[in-house]
Amino acid sequence: MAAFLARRLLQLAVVIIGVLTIVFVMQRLSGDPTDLLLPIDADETVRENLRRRLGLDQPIIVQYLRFIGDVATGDLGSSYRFRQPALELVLSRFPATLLLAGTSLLLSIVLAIPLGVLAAVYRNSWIDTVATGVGLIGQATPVYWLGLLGILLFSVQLGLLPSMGGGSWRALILPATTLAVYSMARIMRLTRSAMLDVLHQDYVRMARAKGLPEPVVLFKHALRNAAVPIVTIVGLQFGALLGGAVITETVFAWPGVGRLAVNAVHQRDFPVVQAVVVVIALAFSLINLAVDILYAVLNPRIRLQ
Amino acid sequence: MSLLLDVADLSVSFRSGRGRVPALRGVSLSVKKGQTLGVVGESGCGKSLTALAVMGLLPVPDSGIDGGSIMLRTGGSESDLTKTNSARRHRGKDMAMIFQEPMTALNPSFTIGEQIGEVLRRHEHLGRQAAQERSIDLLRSVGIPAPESRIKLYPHELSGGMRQRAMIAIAIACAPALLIADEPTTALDVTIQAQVLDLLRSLQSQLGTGILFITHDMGVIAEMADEVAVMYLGTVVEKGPTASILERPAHPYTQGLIRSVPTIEMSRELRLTPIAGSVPSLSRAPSGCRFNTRCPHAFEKCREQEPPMHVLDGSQQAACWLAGEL
Repeated sequence: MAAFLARRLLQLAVVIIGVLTIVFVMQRLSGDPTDLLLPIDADETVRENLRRRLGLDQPIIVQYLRFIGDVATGDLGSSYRFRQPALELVLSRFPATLLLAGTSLLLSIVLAIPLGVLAAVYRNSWIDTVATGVGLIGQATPVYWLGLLGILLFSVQLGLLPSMGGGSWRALILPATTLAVYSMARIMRLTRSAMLDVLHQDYVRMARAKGLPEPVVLFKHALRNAAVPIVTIVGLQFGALLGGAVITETVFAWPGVGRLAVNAVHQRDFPVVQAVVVVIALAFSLINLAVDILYAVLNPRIRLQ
Repeated sequence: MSLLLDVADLSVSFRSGRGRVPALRGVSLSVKKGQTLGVVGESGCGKSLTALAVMGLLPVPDSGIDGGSIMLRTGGSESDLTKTNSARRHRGKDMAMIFQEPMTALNPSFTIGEQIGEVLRRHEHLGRQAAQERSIDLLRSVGIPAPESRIKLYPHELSGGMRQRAMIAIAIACAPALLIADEPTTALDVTIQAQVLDLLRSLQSQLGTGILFITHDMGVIAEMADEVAVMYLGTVVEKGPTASILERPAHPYTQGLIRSVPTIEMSRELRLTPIAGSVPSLSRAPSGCRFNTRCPHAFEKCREQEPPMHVLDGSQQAACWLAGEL
């Protein structure tokens, strides 16, 4: 277990360095931040001064090494725009994103797993038809379109829910539901197919032969053995929700990391973009690690090594 | 001797979009209290299907009961297991089943202790602690050494023989009146086979359990069964006390089965006689006697009319026009 963790943490470091490199290169390709930070008619000497202060006058490799070195010491630079440490800025927004992604994930799991199990048990019945239909539509619907539709209906027409902002549970409902639709559809479809694989297994018949009630047979004996692929997709979806809340957060003006990232990109606020990417990548990697550890808990035949 | 299980005229069919294929036709057999009925026949004869019908575990919606009754008599009351939800009330408690393949029948995700314990918690309403203690006792009673540590193991951490013993421990957890064993030794080594059969016999004498023992092995029948029912293509072709059927099989199919088993006394020159041909598919079962396509004695009448059960001397019965003459 200790060796497993050590190796996984090493892998994690490699992933993060890779992510940092990609971010660094892509940002340097996207243009000069001084264009945005200074008035359009700014003097060239003012420009030079700012570049020097931001370290942008150095050779690219020096910038890169300095950047990696700073990240390693926990310094992700200061926001060009807000003049405060980028990491601090991102972490202050992270709880809002975590709340949104977590609520969405919880919502999708609560709906997807029972529905997927029922669709598998009553395969080819109307329940199955409805479930697979919902799954197909849910996966095919663009999230921004669904979000705008939700705002039109529930905020503009009916006036039931706020269309934007954070801070109250009512403001959470629309973005969380919108964001949950896709992951719900994915988790549900996967639950269905994983359950179909285990339902005809001998141990399910054995569980019935033991006189256990049907819910115990399905949700304990069958679902536990179908859990590994489901946990995988739930982990992936959680990462995707954290990183992919960008659109939803923009549509609903949710004060989270996603919106911060979009604004930072527009303003070429490099340190903030870098901090966002590092934080999300780290979260993603940690979720994957948690999923791998869960495998061994769920399936005693899997040994971590 | 009172009847524990009485299956009468049971018919089961497989159902698909294209209609029904009869899989069991008028099966009648019974298990006496504390005794063993051996059900023997080739693959696809319907012996496992009969067991699943008794347990109420026929695959739905792919199969279903078309007629007949399955009476289970326990604790002074009688219930018909063909009725909806009737079998469910007795499963695990009054009747239990041992499956052929313990590797796949035990749930890979739970410890042996959990899998025994949940039966006790469910049916005997024991607490976690009490259920664990009883599980240890049960494992000891099926001959698993060091049961205190074994309950913490997962199925894949046990040997084949140990797994089958664990499954037997689950089955007998609530001391059921009826135990259905579906080829319980087929997946095991010969030496382990003998041990498991011994175990089943000694548990039977301790608990007074009636056993429905399904096998394709005539040798196992000779060792285990008080009575035998021989099945062929969804029907019972012969039944009666084991001794008389092994000595004087009346149905050509039973005779064929016995002749195809080697014995230790057999001279080296004597060749085993297999039954000619192969089992026809259920959807193309022959008319008349279902065995007529493979029977060495078949004549006109066998192809036209299905023979009824002929009662021979004692309680032996055979469904053959020539019963008693061959």
